[in-house]
Amino acid sequence: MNSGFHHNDGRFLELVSENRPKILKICRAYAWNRCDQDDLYQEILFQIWRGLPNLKEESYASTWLYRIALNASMSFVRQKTSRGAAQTTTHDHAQLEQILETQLAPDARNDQLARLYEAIAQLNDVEKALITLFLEDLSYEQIAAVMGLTESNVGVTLHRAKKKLLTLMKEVANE
Amino acid sequence: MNDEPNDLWRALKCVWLEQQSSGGPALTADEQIAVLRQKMAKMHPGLNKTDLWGAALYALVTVPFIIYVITTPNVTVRTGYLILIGGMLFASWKSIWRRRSIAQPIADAPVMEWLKYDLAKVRQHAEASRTLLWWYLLPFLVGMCVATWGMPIDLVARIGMSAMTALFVGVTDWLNRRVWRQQWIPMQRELEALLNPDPPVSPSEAPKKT
Repeated sequence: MNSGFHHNDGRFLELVSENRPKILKICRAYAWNRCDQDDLYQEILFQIWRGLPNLKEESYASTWLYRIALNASMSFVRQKTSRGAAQTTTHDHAQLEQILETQLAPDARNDQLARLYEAIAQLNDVEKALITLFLEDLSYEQIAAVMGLTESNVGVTLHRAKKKLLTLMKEVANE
Repeated sequence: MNDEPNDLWRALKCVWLEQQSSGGPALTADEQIAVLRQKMAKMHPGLNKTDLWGAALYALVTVPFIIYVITTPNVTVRTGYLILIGGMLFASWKSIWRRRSIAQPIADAPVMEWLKYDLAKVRQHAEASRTLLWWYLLPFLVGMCVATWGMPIDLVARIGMSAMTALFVGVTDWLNRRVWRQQWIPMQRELEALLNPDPPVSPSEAPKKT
């Protein structure tokens, strides 16, 4: 580690390096083009950096990080919308396919992943968050802690989101 | 009966968890820290600086009108300028109050709490935008018209200046209402829908824990 870093810098770099894949997946779920994904990634890192002094318990780090990443992502999307930038939805199929082709190597597994991302893009912000956390294999209790919902609420909303996602994936596959 | 295709979800989870992560800016640790420090330094003055600059700008615009109020002997013109100054002071105070009235939650607050904050901010923007005519444009229009009609100029000039001011106010209000309809209201509805989703679930839709 660079000796010029402060104690918090080291902690920050360690946290980011451990959780980089999680952060990148959230960036990809909320921002569709590479440029926006990079901007969102930087924004999430910035929020982690700012909030790190408040992280007292390392055991809480995962929930803490998901909260920061999801809050930053939703704010990022809303800022883009309020500045008049049109959100990319999967209705822009040609654009999406092009983006997915450049981001994923063409094999069956990636094809399924591409369909999954394409369907996730059509969910609303809360459904996106719930599905992302569910796919990250978090328990209902952990999802509830991240979202600030009760476990039963998580169950109901996630159940609906999953049904919607499957329908969307079928639609994507049929096109 | 569990009608969820559990195998499919297991497979999707597998694909999701095993996906190769690529992307993100290619920065070294030193560069990344430098970028964050730079960003932090830029935002440090934050709200106080924004408010100070905003208030200074209003003060700057107000100065010529204050000079007119002091130097003009005509009471009607003075009254017009006083209305203008009052309107600007009120608008300046309202902008500062709007920025400070809703406390931002901490970055790691639960997602729904952040959404509630977002909704409160959007509602505030929507309301300010909807009522702009009353708290910003109307004092300007009334002040300008009163001052114009007190000036020792001919009738055509008075009518022309008043008409130009009314046109400016009308166009600004129309543009503002357009932004309110096309931007703030859809955003407000979207956030309200996120926070208050669908009607209650039927028993058949009861979820099962995975």
